[in-house]
Amino acid sequence: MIDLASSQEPDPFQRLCQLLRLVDEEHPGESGIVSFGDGRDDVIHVQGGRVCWAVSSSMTTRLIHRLAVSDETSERELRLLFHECRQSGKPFGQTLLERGMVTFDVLRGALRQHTAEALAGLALRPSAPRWTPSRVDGYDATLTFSTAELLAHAGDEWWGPLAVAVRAELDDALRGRSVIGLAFLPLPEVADAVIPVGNHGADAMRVHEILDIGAWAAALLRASGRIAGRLISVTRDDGRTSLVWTSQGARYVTIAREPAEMAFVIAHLSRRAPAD
Amino acid sequence: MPGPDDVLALVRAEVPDCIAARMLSLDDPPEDADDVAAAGRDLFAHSDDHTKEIVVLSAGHTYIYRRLAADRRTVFTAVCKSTSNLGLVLGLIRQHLASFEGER
Repeated sequence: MIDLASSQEPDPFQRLCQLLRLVDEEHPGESGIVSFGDGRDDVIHVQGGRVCWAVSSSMTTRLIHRLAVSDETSERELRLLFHECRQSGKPFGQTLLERGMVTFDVLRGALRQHTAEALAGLALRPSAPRWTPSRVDGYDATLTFSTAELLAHAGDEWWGPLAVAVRAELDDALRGRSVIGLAFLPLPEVADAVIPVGNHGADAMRVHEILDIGAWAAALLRASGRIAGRLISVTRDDGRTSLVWTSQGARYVTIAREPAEMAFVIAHLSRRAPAD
Repeated sequence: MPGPDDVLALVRAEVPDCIAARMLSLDDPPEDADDVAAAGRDLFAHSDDHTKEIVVLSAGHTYIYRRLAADRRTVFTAVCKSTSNLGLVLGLIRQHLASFEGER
């Protein structure tokens, strides 16, 4: 049982991981609401194991601000619609799309960053998170998020634009390939710890699996340090192959069932100029 | 029947830009290890028992570590220049090891 309230874990990232494990390990595939304290201002809505919405009273940036910055719709128009939706009970995000006020990608990106930041704030709450089973079913599934996706985007809290660049690098290397990919950066001020910042096709992975893979990749790169290894390919008896490489401080891991998929990834990496 | 020395000689002779090839025991004491052997042992120590092959690319060299099917504690090890064609190197090594192991 993960108990954040009695947890002595002082590290904000580890606390965030514990909070996400409450969703993907203790209540996998379930719907419910995670609340803190009196349950009014700090909540996480979960639908079928995916996070739909989270809000933290400590957040200074609201979703409306994010949408107004990333799109041309004025903050005033967004506020009017927000109040209209609140009175009528319509979902705000879906109404925005129906009226053509934002594009799907802008809305999903803003929702994801808002939710990831809210989770990072909620993980620091001193009160214990409380799971209440609930019939949460009104959210459009395409506007909900796996814990793996949110964990990767929460990395922006620590690394900002560098996390975004590393994520783009991973997607560029794996575009069009049937492989799973993860990217990690060192966790500032915590020796040997890594934080996931990129996720390519790894939505079904649980938080603890992602962290285990990050630790394994770090151990392999350390082991190959004495022969100056920069890219390591590991093939198992069943043909499953993993690639681990490092570039400009970031660590990348790719896992494929078909070794041939890896040949394309290695070819892509070898075409680039040496990065380090 | 060819022995380990024969397959190592064959790999050195036929694999392009092969600098060294030898068999490595994962059970040898760590203090006896040079960098290539120590890295190989460390890499397998961080992998599970189902790991068959580990390839490491560095700026100048390619290192190939491959467990023998009949003796999982022994790892064939080769070092090649990084300029060699990786697909060709791996193909030839796998072919020579398969015929060596098939004849044992």
